[in-house]
This record gives sequence, C-alpha cells and structure tokens, in this order.
Amino acid sequence: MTGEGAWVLLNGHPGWIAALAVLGALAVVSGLHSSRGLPPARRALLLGVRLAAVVAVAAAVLRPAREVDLTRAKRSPLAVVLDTSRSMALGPQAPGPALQRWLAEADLGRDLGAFYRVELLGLGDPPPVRDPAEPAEGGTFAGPHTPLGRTLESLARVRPDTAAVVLLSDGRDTERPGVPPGGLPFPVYPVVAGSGPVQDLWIEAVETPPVAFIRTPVEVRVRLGLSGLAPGPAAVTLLEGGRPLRSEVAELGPEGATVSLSFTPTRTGRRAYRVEVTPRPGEATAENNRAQFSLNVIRDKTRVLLVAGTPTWDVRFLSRRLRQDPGIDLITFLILRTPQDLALVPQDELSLIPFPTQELFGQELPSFDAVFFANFDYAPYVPRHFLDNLVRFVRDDGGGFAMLGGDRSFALGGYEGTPLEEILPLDFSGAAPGRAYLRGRFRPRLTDAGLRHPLFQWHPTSEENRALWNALPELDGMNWVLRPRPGAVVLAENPEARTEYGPQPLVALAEVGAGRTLAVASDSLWHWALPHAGAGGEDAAYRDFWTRALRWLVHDPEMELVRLGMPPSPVRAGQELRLRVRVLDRSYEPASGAALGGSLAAEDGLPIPLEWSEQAPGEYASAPVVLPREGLWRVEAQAQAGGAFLGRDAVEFPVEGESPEGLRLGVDRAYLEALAEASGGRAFPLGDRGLIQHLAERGRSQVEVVGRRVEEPWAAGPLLALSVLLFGLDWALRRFWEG
Amino acid sequence: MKKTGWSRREVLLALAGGGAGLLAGAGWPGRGEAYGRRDYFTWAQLRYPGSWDPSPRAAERFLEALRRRTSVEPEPRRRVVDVGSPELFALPFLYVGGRGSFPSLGAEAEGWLRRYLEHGGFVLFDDATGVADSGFAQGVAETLGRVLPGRGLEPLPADHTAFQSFYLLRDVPGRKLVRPFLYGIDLEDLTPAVLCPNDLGGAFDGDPLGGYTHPCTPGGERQREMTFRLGVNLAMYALTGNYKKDQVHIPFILKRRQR
Repeated sequence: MTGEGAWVLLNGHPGWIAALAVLGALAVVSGLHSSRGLPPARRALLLGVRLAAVVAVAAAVLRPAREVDLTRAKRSPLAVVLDTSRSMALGPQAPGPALQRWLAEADLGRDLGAFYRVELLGLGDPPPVRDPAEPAEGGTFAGPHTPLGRTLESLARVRPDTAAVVLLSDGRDTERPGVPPGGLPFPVYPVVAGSGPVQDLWIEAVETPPVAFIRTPVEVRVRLGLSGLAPGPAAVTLLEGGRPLRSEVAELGPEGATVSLSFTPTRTGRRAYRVEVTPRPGEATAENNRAQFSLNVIRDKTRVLLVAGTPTWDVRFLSRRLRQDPGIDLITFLILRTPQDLALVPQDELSLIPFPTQELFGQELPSFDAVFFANFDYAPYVPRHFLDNLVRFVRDDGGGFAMLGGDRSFALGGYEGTPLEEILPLDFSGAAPGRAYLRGRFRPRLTDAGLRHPLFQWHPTSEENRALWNALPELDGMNWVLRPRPGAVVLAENPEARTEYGPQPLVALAEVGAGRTLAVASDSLWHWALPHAGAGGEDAAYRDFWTRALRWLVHDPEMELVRLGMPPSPVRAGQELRLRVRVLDRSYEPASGAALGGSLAAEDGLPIPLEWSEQAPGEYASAPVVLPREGLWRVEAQAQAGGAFLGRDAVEFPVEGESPEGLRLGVDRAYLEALAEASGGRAFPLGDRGLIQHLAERGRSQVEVVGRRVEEPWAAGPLLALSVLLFGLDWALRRFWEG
Repeated sequence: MKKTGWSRREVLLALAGGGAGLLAGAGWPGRGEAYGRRDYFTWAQLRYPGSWDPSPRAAERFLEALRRRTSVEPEPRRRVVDVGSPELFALPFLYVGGRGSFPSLGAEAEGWLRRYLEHGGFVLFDDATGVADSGFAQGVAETLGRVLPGRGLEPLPADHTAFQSFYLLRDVPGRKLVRPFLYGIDLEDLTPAVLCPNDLGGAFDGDPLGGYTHPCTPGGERQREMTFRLGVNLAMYALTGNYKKDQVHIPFILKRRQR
C-alpha cells in the first residue's frame, strides 16, 4: 500500500534558491529593458518565454520530487484471554465448554490473521501463553482462582502494544468481585456465554462487626443471593463448633434477602462460626450454601455480681477494691435487713429495695462474667432451682463463680447437697455441726501449687514474693471444710487446723466445664488491706490477689500459661500450616523444654496429633500439617514442664474451601459489559459474527509505514535543453521583431 | 459502643414490676440456728488525753439498736483503743467523742490516723459540747487539716450516701440541734471522716435499766429515734461505702423521697 505522499526539493539548498531568484530577477529586468519599443503583446510574449526558460533552469537545479510512504497492515497482538478457572465449568449452564467450542470453531487466526497476531492467553500475572491444542493439567477449567482484573492489568504492563483483548470468561473475578479494572490501554471484547440465570441460592456475604463483646448480643447479617429459583422461605442457621446457636427463616425475594442472626458470645478470643442456608431443590450447587467466619470476642468491662448476706468488712474491702478498678463493672447486692430485724418504720423511710432474685438468677445471669457469693446464705432469697442456673452459668457458659467464707457460707449457708456444692473446689459435706466455723487467728500457708500459681505471684522474684507473703497479718476465723474436690487445686491452707485429709484448705480453685470456681474459706482476707497497712505494709498483696483471682476466673488470656496463636487468616484447604504456641512456667517465665501435646480436628473428623518443636525459649511450633478440607477446625495444645501440668488452650478457626470458585455461579453479564465499556470495547453474545467483522475493520485501519518512495517527474537534462531552446526562441524573436 | 446487656435501669424496671422480694420470702431460718455466727462490726472508741468519753454507755445502746434493726451482727460492747495503738487497724470503725476541746495528737499520731483513713478506716467525730463552733469541733478540724492537708471539713450534701445508706433521712438530729449539717472530708469517692456537731452519743447514752441519760431537745423521743437512725446510717456507710449510690438504688431512693 502507498500513502498520498508530499512534494519536496531534492536539491533545495538555500544558496541555489537564492541564486535562481537572482537569475530570475535579472532575466525579467533585462527582458523588460531589451523589449522597449515593441508592442505590448510581443513584449509580454518575450517576457513569458524568458520566464519559462528561467523556471526550467530552476527545476533542473532544484529537482522537485514527490515522496510517497509505503505502508502495510500493522498486525498488532490480539490477545484472546481464556478464563480457565473452575467456575467456568460448574453448573448445568457452565459457560466454559461453550466458549471453548466457539474458540475452536471461530478460527480467529484464519479470519483475523491478516490484521493481528492472535495469541491465546490464560489467567495470571503475567498471563501465560496457552497452546490451544493442549488442555491444562487437570482439564481446561481447573484453576482455583479467577484473577481477572489482575490478569488484564498485567497484560497492559507486559504487552502495552496489545491491540485488543477478546475475553472468554464468566466475569467472576475472585479477587475483586464485581469491580472491573479501569484505565486499560486496549479495548476488551468479552464474549458473553450463557442463556439465562443459573438456578442457585447462595450466601453472598456475612457481615460481622469488627469486634464483639463477651456476654453482649452480637448481630451477624447474612446476605443471600437467589437466581433462577422461585422466591420463598429459606432456613438460615448459625453454628459454633457444630452446635446451632441461632436459626432464622429468610423470606427470599427475586434477588435474595438479608437476614440477621443475633447471638451472645460467652468466651473471649477469636471464635469460629459457620452459617448454613438449607439448599433448595434444583440448585446448581450446594457448595455455596455455607460460609465460615471468625469473630474476635473481647471483654469491654468485666461484669461482676457481688451478693453478700450481710455487710462485713470483708465485703466492704472487696467491693472497694473492685470499684477502684475502672475495668470492672460491679453490681452489688447486700442484705441489709432480714425479716428478723425490727422495722419500726414505714417502708418509705427506708432506702432498702427488694432482692431481685428472678432478674438476677433467672434472666440476667449470663450477662455477668463472674458471680461472688460473699457470706451469703441463699435459702431465704434464692429458690434452690436457681442454683441450677448458676451451675449452667459456670459449666456451660464459661462464667466464674467464687464463694467467700463467713458464718453464712459453705455448710453454714446450707449449700450441702445443692447443685452448687458440686462445682465448688471444696468438699464441706458432713462438717460437724459444732465445727462449721473455726474461730481464732491463724497464719495461712501456701501449698506447692500456691507458691507457683499466678494468684499469689505478687512480685516478680520468688524471694520477694515469699517475703511479702510472710509479712501478711494473720487471718481471723475460717469455715470448716473437709478436703478439695477431685481435680481442684488448693493454693493456701490453714496448717493449724487438720482433718484426716490434711490441713484445712483456705483458697482453692477448680475448672468446671467451660468455667472456673474459686473458694476462699474465710471472711478475713481484708486483713491483708487495712491491718496490713497498720503494720507498715501496703495493700498491694490484697489488691493483686483479687485482681488476679478475678482475671483467672474470667479466663483472662494473659493469665494463661499455655496460649495458642491464631493461624493466619484466611486458611484454605490444602494449605500447609504451622501452628504456634507460647508456654510460660508457673513463674510466668518462658518455659523451655516443656512437653507439649495437642491435636487438630475438624468438627466431624478424627483428631490429627501434632508434633511440636521449640523455636525459641517458650515458643513452640507444630510440624507442618495440611488441612484436607474446609470447615471449622479446632486445635488444642497442652503443656507440662518438670512433671507439672501447666495448662491447655484451644482455638477454633475457619478453613475456607481450596478455592473461592463455586461461591457464585453463572455469567456476570454486568461485570463483562462494564469492563467492555470502561475499556472502549464492546461485549458480544456468543456466536455473534459481528465480533470478527468489528475486529477485522479495526485491524484494517491499523497500518504501519514500512518504507518511502521518491518520484521525480522531470529529469534535469531535458529541462536544461528546454531552457536552452526557450532562451534561443527569446533571442530569435527579439532579433526578428527588432529587425 | 451500645451496650446491649443488662443495665441497672432495666433491673429497676423489672423490680418495679414485682420481682421476688427480700421481704416476701417465707420459711426464714432462725438466726440462732446457724452455728458459729460471728461479729462483723465493732465500735472502737478512741481514748485520748481529755474528755474522750462523755457518754460511756452510748456504744452499748447503739450497738443493740444496730443488731435489732439491721442484718449487721455487732460486737455487743465497744472496744477502747489508745492513740497510736496498732490495734486500731483491725477495727475499721472508730468513734471519737469529746466535749469542750480536742487536743493536738502530735505528728506521729496524726500520721497513724492518716494511714488509717487512707487505707479504708472510717472515723466518726461526735461533739458532745452542745454549742456551735466548740473547742472540740475546732480541734478536730485543725487535726484533720494536718492529717489530710489541702482538704477541709465541709457540710455533707443532702444527697450524701450517709443520709440514705439504710434510712432515708433529711435532718441531722442528736441530743441537741446545734447545726443542721454533718461535716466530712472526702478522700477519693468516700468520706472517711465525719463530724457530727449534735452529740449523737448523748442521745444514745443510757442507764443500765433502759432509761436514757439525757433528754433530746427540742424534739424529744422522736428526735432520739431519728438520732438512732442517723447512727445506723453512719455505721452502714462505714460498712458499705457508696453502695447506695449504685445506679440500681437511685431511682428507688428518689421515688421514696418524693413521697
């Protein structure tokens, strides 16, 4: 092909041009001068001849010529991007096979090869070149992800000369769903396959708050999508650890629905949950009818309920201590008057309020983190069946419960044979009536467990801690209890009071199901506050004891010796994972050389034993383990050091499917059309020949210059001869007419 | 953050709806049935150089009233502690009575008193003089000014917890109505030192046969009854602190005060 060309002077040197201009001027002037006296017509003819001669000379010298571009079709790259992800072949109306057939039949190389270099690319960064004849390993449509936007952006970066992209995809970008890339330097021409909506009900998204607060209702919003199915009800269930927490019926509209599920977390830490929506008949897949998520459950304030049978100094100093802590929300109920006390005044002249038994123990118990019974005899105020609620609060809901001593507590409080007795760390059944309360001062002693337990770790060094303990004043009076219950740990005892089971336990702990209980068999711990101050001490021991006791009761993670780290999020099936655990010894120093056990298990699977190795002092990591499938997984770890059990921890976490493909089926026509429009391209239905024609026309207009041709219409020699002839004619005519 | 848990206000509303009440219970165990019952309140009285004991039987009469009217089990007799005695720190309630004057305790004893107040002790100063601005009241104010520098005795407001810790009180009674106020010094959110100018002990004091030593003027026996109520409230305040300031109690108290 040739272009229109342009005129140029092959010898257009300015010197030549100037010389010729002078020559022309001289010719005209001399011609006018020499033709004086002739008639005007002859004079004009002579002047014209002379000028023609000069022009001929000029043309011979300057050599005017026409330059013409030689062009051809440009043949820029035409990228045909084939989405090879798994979603392309899922469902009864999967677009993948249809697009693959179209690609084979269309033979783009034949129709467009004259204008483009056609290349078949897959998804990736950079996009891999594919051989149309060879399907990928595992089949053409086996990709675990659809990085559609990233592929196109990468193509723009590595192949900026790409003339256009023919996109064969369902538009289900798994990295940026529904958000087509912008600013592409080439037009994109999606080929839209699929004749109609896929029959499917799916969980589009689960919206959760950034954090949730323990014992405070939290709302989870589940967005459901619906296509190709009739609207109607659908059951949505929220589960934790395979246990249904809440179920709601969503009324699905033509495009789905949003349903809110509210529940109350009862443990802190990152918790894992699953949402399921019951599949409907005819669905393309049930794989997208469930979704997992995790939620970080934290504690706002530790909510403590303190109930005391009478005002005592022990209660007074305990409540003072708890109120001083801004992280504690304390609700106190003190029995200030019993029916045996004389009223003598109208009720309106008293500030007393009824004891809210039903509200406290029938309704609102789960809103507390810990409950303290301080010298409280339940029978006049709390019907016995409410004690069952307290047991459930501890055992099932993970609450903390503490019973403090006094003449209305333990056996004297009538707790023998009640459900509450079973969760307490101390066994007081069968206490002799005459020995239910031991009067007199005594100096308690820490047990071996007490020496190591964080409740009594008031000072970083054991020597100073021991000195602090030894400086504490004596206690005054304690409840008669027989022995610790199986599994309970006695931290302090009264060595001066013994039974056949040994010294009388004073402070003891127990793990009860998901919760914890504490028993303090005396009402004189306040001696560690004011009396200790009177002896020159500080009340730090008293303060620290109750701070640590409460933190232990409510499972404060910082009080745990064994603490599992959360796996990175998200975890996908098939992914190799290393779990990490931090182990502290009883003095809260990193525990080197600890013996760790633990396992990993899906909800319905056998546990996988874990092998641990120490990476740094107190830091352990499991051998790599591959999670075979999606679901909620639970990892447990326990540690021992020096033959002593340090503790255990468990973490639940969601494991996503190996790929997000299949979460949403069918062609996202809106995405493909928006992508085409944003890039200056156009979406074509599958089988529309208009795409080939459009690309051919576009290709024709895309040419490149491959060379240049110079066309010189007049040769110098003939022009010089012509100029001689003209000058001769000029001379002859002048001679003849002047004659 | 919106707290969706149980609020105190909700508790109160629920209670107003007729929750199971303390006084609605039946089948109460007899108090004497519980073996080993112990004393949870001791009236400690300071002995100092001077007129420290103007009403020698006041404590006994008051403690009996406290035992009969409330769930508190007081030790039946007072304990006398001397200035500077370490025994005081085992007795968080201290009564300091006096008539006419109150001497300077000295720097060491004032340090001892400061430590007591700062670590949870409560002191009730009771002026038995029967006149305004007595030497006792001035001596107490000067001593407390040195014990807790920067703070002064101020009249307690009408909504102070001491006026609603058990009974709902509006006035400050005593043997004589010298001043209509109690005076106190605040420390953190409590008032660990209170001065009564109206001679509480004089209203309590009696003879072994059950009579009272002094008449209460001008209100007579009604004034004496109200004085016992104020004594009960102060003992309860020492034992429970700001318990009655809890949000859970305030609506009830306001409602009853409006009647």
